[in-house]
Amino acid sequence: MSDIQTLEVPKWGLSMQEGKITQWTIKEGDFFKKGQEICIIETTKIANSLEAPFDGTLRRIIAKNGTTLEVGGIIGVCADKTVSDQEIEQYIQSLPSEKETKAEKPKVEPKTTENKQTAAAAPSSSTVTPSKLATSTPSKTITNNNFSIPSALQGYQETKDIFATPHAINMAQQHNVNLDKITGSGPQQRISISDIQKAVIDAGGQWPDVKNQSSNTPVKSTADDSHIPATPLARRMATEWGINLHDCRASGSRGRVCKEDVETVYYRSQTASTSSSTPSTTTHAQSESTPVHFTPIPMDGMRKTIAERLQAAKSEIPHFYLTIEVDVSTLQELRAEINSKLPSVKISINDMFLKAIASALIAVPEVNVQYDVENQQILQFDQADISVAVAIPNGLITPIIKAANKRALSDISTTMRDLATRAKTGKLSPDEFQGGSFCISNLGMFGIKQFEAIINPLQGAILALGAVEKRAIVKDDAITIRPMVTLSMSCDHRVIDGATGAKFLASLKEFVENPMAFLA
Amino acid sequence: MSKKSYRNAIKEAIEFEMRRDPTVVVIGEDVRGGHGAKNTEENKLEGFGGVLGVTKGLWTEFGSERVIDTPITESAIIGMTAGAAATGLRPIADLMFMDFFGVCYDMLYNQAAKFRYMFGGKAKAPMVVRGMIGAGFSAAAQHSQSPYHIFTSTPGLKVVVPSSPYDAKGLLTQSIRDDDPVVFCEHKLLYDITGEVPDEDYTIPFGVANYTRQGTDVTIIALSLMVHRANEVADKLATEGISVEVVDPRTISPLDEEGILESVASTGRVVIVDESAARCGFAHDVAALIAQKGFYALKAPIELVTPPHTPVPFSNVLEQAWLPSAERIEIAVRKVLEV
Repeated sequence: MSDIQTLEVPKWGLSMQEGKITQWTIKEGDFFKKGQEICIIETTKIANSLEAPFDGTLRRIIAKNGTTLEVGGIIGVCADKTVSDQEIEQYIQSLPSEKETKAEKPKVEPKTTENKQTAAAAPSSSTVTPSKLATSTPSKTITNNNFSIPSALQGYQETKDIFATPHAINMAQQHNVNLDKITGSGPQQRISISDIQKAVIDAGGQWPDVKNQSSNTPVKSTADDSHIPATPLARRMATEWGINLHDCRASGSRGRVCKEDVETVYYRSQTASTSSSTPSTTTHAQSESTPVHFTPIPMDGMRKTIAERLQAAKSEIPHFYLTIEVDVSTLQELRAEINSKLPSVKISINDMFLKAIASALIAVPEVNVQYDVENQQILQFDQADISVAVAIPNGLITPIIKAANKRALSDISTTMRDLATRAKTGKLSPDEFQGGSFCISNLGMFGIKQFEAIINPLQGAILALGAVEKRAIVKDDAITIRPMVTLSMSCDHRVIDGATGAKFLASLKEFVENPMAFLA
Repeated sequence: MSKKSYRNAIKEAIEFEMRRDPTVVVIGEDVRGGHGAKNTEENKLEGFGGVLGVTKGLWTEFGSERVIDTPITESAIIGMTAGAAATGLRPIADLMFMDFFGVCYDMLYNQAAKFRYMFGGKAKAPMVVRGMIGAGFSAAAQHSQSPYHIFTSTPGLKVVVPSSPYDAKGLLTQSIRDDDPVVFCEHKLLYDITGEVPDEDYTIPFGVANYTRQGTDVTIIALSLMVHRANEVADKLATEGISVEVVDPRTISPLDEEGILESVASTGRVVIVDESAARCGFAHDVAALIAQKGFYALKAPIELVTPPHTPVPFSNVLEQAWLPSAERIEIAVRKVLEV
């Protein structure tokens, strides 16, 4: 018996539940070395490349591009070339399907015998005997997305006698349809996708109109569009409306996407979404008066995660808020001086705040904490790992400036720019945005004077930075105009008390107003 | 299976059918003699075998009654063929350069194509008109055109444009057995290409496209010589990770609409390559089909690669620039992918 190994969806980080295979970088039959990139898997947060956990030959891709599987789900089967295709086939058939694994998993007690067997198929365990695995045969109707194949039509078989179009064969293979049971309507009874669709529907199953599947919803790209030439206005509008520049025709000069191109896509999507909204979504009273137009936007994985986590945070964490105003005149002057004297660096006010916060976190370590709910303990950190909220097209992510207290300002500045750029293109690795002992969120660039942020779970506090604005303040009994910023800190009262938080803000104010202290 | 040239594949199809069916005859200039050879029943000297030697050897086996030489008069060749077909034979006419269909077009489009329809199904014209198409041979403007799109526009005619030796044999056999007039277009630059061809006879049904490459990013639809150029581009782009599907409809009347639309539905991006005409040609016909029935699958405007709307130049350099090249196809593919 030769060795058959499997490739699985890895667990990147605590919160990862499932992964979507977006692209295989090797083909069936390819040999790969341990550590080589074999495919790209998208989680709710990022797309990351999966490195081969062992040397091997990929014999069969189980999870095609676009498939979403739970952590541990089998994505491919590997074996030496000496293993026959038949053995591979037998092995695959012996695997429990994703749907079955999900269905058989009890909600309270996830560790069943079935799962232990699946776990035994982990790459690290190298050899698996197919007979040890639970054997399951498809029954009744297979349902996959909008496809459901009645049992009478199930069972794809590769045979030379079937005359069908290549796409019909691919579809049949993908959805396990027995072409032998379908009569084609093409030349010499050739079977087309439409014939399969008709047969499946006639037999009581479901087969969406794949030829016109994009008729109601315009195609939306998700690829990085930062390199697509576009006019600055077009780019800004596209960002604002959540339009990917790949979806726009470039009709501008020198092949650039221009304003009109973005508008075209926007209005097209508006029309499509309006026309596709069903009457059932409008109440009877509304339908009699002016129709209400809206655009239903499906929640993607990241949006769902944000919704779940922040809902939990706001309902479980007892927030309290502290607000303080700081004078940033010295900070601004120092920034201007550094930037003018050192042309190679370009420090922002945000970078200086980061450094000041890092210094204050070291000065008041009681705020530099995480709440370990499971073990009922507070984890107090001796370095300032500051998460920075970065808005990205479909949500937000919080890359971490690690050990900000030990870094030079220029280093913080460069690192922040790099993290923000990669965050926007989905290229962060999990350890770059998971963890952190404190979080900051800055909406000053939008002119927001003051706001209260929701705590990023596990962390003890989050600081919300408002805009720099000139305000009239009283100093030495005289009214004077100074550039001021309002800082609001949301604290988890389970681990940070009011006085501790206040002490931290006082320390932070000191650092911001006397920046030489943190530069020293 | 052994490797055979496109020329031999065509000849094999004719030989098989002549042996199988005594009503199959060959009519054309120099199909029997020519090249100065005065072959008679007594003096069996093999002649030219048509202008490109495809029918060489047939006269020796099948004799003067079934391999009939004609004067160089296209109207006589096609007129005689249509008449013979109407009276019960299955003639294969060698029109030689397809460019000269003009002088015999009445016999083809106004007579043979309409026999079955106008006689209420009581008469038919089971004939094949073979002819050469294509530029790239420095044969100048009157010998280098690919006028198959004109035949496509005639109801009653079937039009076949094979790109490989395998297709040529299977489709010609099918053409000879078909009860309607079939125009069989052979590209000059393909006669010497070789490919796997079964020794036994076989047919390929009309209206079934062949996917010479399967891919997911873009569909190239091409005919005849252009299929090879499209394959070349597909193979080149595959090394960059761009997955190109190449669809060769093989017959353009009937046209495999389903086969084309399924590919368009799966890739959403289309390039059509055609040597026939810059206006009202095969490319425009297929583009209209996709715009009508596959529009919602499109992610980018359809791109056409055709020659300019000029006669074919004689100068080799200009002729090469006139023909759709692999470079132009590649540019078009990148264009539809970038939108």
